[in-house]
Amino acid sequence: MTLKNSLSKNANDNKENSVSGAGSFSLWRLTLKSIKRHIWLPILALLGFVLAMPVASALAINNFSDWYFDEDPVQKLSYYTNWASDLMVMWQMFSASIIVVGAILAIFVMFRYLHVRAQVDFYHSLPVRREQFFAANLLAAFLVFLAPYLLATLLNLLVLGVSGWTAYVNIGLYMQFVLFNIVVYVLFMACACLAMQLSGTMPSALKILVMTFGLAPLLAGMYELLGGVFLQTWVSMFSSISIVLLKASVVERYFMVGAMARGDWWAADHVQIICWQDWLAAILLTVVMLAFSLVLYRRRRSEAAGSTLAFGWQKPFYKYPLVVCSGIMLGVFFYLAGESSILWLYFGAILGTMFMALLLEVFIKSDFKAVKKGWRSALVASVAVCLLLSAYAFDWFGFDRSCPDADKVEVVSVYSTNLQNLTGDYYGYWNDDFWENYWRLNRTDALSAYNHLVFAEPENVAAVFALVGNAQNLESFASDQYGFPYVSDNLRVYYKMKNGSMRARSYWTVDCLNGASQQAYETILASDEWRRQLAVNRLDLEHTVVCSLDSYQLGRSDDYLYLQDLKSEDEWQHFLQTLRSEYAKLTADDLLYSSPVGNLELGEYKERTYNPENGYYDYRGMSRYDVKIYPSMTDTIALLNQLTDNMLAADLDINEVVEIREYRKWTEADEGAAMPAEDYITEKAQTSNQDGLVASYRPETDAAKIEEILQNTVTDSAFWHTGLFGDSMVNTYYEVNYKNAVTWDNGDEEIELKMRTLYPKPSRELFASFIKN
Amino acid sequence: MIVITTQNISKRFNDVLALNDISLNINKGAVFGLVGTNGAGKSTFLRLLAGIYRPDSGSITIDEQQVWENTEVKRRVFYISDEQYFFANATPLEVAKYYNGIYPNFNLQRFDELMQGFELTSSRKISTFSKGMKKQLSVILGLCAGVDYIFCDETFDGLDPVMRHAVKSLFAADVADRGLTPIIASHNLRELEDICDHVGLLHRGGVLLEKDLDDMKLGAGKVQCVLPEGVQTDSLGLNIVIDEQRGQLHTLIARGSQEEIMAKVAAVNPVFMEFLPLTLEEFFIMETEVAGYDLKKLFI
Repeated sequence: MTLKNSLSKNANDNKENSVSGAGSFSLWRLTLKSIKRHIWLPILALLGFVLAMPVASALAINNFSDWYFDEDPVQKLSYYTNWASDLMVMWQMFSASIIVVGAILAIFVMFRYLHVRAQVDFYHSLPVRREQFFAANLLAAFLVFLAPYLLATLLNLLVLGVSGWTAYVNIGLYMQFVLFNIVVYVLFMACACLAMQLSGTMPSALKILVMTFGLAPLLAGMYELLGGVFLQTWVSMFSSISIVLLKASVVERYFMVGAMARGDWWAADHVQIICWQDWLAAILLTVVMLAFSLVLYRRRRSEAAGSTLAFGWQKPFYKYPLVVCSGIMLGVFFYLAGESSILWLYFGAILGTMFMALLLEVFIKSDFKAVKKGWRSALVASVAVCLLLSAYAFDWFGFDRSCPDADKVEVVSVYSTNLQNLTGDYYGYWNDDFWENYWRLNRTDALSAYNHLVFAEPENVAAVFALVGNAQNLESFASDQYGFPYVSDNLRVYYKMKNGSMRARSYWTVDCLNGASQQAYETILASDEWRRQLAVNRLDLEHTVVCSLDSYQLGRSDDYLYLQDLKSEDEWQHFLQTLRSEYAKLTADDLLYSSPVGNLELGEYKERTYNPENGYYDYRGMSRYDVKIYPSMTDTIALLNQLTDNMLAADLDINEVVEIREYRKWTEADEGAAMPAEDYITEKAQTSNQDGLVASYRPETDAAKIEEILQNTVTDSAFWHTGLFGDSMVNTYYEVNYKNAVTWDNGDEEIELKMRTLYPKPSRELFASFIKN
Repeated sequence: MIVITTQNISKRFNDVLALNDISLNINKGAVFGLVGTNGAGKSTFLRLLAGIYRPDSGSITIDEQQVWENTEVKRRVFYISDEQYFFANATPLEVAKYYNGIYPNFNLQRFDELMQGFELTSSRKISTFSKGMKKQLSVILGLCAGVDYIFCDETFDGLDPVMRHAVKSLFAADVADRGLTPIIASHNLRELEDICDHVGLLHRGGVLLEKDLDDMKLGAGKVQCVLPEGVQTDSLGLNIVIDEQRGQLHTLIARGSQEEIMAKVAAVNPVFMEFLPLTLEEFFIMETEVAGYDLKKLFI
């Protein structure tokens, strides 16, 4: 038809000849149109999920089948179940990565039009309500993920079914994670949608999104940084502010859930990994963010397209958190680099604040000339940051000076390096509860923190306050270079007040060489409240094994034996019962003033399976504990000696001694005095310090002296693990050179020369001689 | 009949006041030309009418209904932006089908006919079209949407003279046949002169003037004459707005009817006298100089 004819055509034909169905786009059709225009999204998602799940499963199952040959059904079930849990972790981690990236990408693509003026003109001029566009784009972004994810999951199940692995995989748990992933996908969509509504350009949207994910942890980090750098008694990760802010990061929590799966899927009787709080938080956050996004979408002006910020009111929130954090970080950096200089602190703070403030001003206005107008507000921000840093640097709020009132304290939970040294770890250093505790909101849980002792009995609480009362700044102990004796402790104390609130303080150096501290330690170690908390009294002995023994005895102190599978179960149970009963009889004097003869490592496990290939057990969920063996534990020592060829016996014979050298530490009084000559009698002998050699003893001429020395000294290992004793408390020490017979694997024997340092045998009297007041 | 009413509408973008207290009425079936320099507020005004922007104050009604978020009203409105947007990798037919799902009166058959008439291929990707071809496509889509109001933002710019004429003819036909009410924004007065019957001049966010073209022309006229020696133009008794002289030839623009102006000039027995039609540009110059603006500066 020619143009002329079309011109003459009655334009009223429009209404008569309009195709039926015109103007009938429903939400569903709008959504499908949207998906069709971005068909590459679901294709990409499908590719990713298929590679992450069915393909990865097929590959891994093929490899597993190649590795394993034993046809024993029990063993096969055990191994395949463990490998199946590896598979689930792999699916979850890969899927989680695709979900986070996919959700953000899908929303950015679907809502991109908000940032382009020509597209905004197009869409907003159409006779479609904005809510309908919002819903259609949101639904499209969801479906481009959902269909590929479900399809890939079905394919994965098919692969498992065909290969016979559905028997090993915990399908119920897997489905739980599938559902959770769908919820989290929508949550990340909501985050990205919010970022798109608040911004007018893609870089701005990205920045807002990163801040949505990371601002809360960043603020938590700043809060902890300030406390940790400037406050002497700050306890990290105790503040409710930090805990709540850290939990506010959805990305971190989502990957933690995936990471946690590793530990718990491994166990046959797994615990519930996705707690109801995770579900509730994910759903609530999603609903709130989507609702907020819709409100913003409706209020958002079309002319915001191309502007950095869509709403004027958001500028302070967009700008100042980052400005303040920048000022703090750079201020702290220069403060530490400048050896705690306040001037450098201010320099860094001003530099960091001004730079970030002006940079963001330029970014928001997309104009370098914005610097001219923005310098005033940058200056004000700098002053504010300097004030904030000053408040911390000079402790204007008196944090370090304040200590809870003892009368108002109900319970204390204390970590003490000295108390730990005395009895080893209380809760073990492979603590499976770490992941659960990490996410607890309740600060009262600090009472059961790792390696802390909890005291509620008044005398023990008073003892802890006595220790804290002697806390001093580390700098005051810099003068020990002339051998001034000191014994210190590092304390971290959580206080539960009678009104239910919690407080915490950390004390880096506590002077223990005073009567009050000595009395405090004796009080604690004599109490049943302390004794009940020892690992040795809490273990389930039926699920406990002896892992290793380390001897502190002279002549055996290089021995370290693995004891796991040496004897029968009955013998081990008898031994453990003996150990426990003798431990219960130890006195405070035993613990504080006598040197241990060795260290026993115990392991408490959740389950184990016997491995016939190597004759050992494979343990799962094992926690290990150090338990020191004291001289008064005679039955325990006898049993261990019997089991280990006398590892705990002090069996150095005088005939094996080549030489003992007596040393005295130099003091201020020695300055200018002639030093004894250091002539080494035996070329192979070793010496390890610069102190003064007082005398040298040889068996041929000084047998009695040597015997006396051996009777009245302990090895350095034993000394260091003795109560409150430390190197600085001893002026005279010995180095013993002795012959040690070594038998090599080929049967050859060799006599080698060894050296060990000996310290005076600790005692209450020796300790008392150092008490200053 | 007044169908589009804007009352005291203002619109600000950050520090810039784009429209300041504008009131305009547009009649049904009128071809309204919106004239102004760059940055006068023409595009902003059209976007407000199309419901893309929301006014900071004032009201905009079409057929006595508010425009903002009113799908009933927007179904009768088609907006052609100065910067058209089409779906990536889409063909004209795909876009037409999209519109067909949005506008209840969209006519796909007429779309095919117009595409053929303009010699545009429905199956060819729009991304391969020239700027002019995209404008033609936009106009075609607008005309086929079956709407009562079509807002064109500098649509005629970029079209060759033949296509410009063809588009004008199409508009005219729809106006005549079904009462289409186009509002055409342009900074080119000559472009609008032969299609518009009502014009409004925007400058710096305000309306300088708004007139029916016929009424404008009835109220003023242009005459070229050579007066006898000793006779000045002041003595003619005319309400002269512009007097340009080249040698002895005077070009006068004066208020009044053609007959009145001719009679007064003839009364002094001029050597030469001729009445000429007033162009839109000359009329605007006349009116704006009265308002204290030098229109030539506005349009340079």
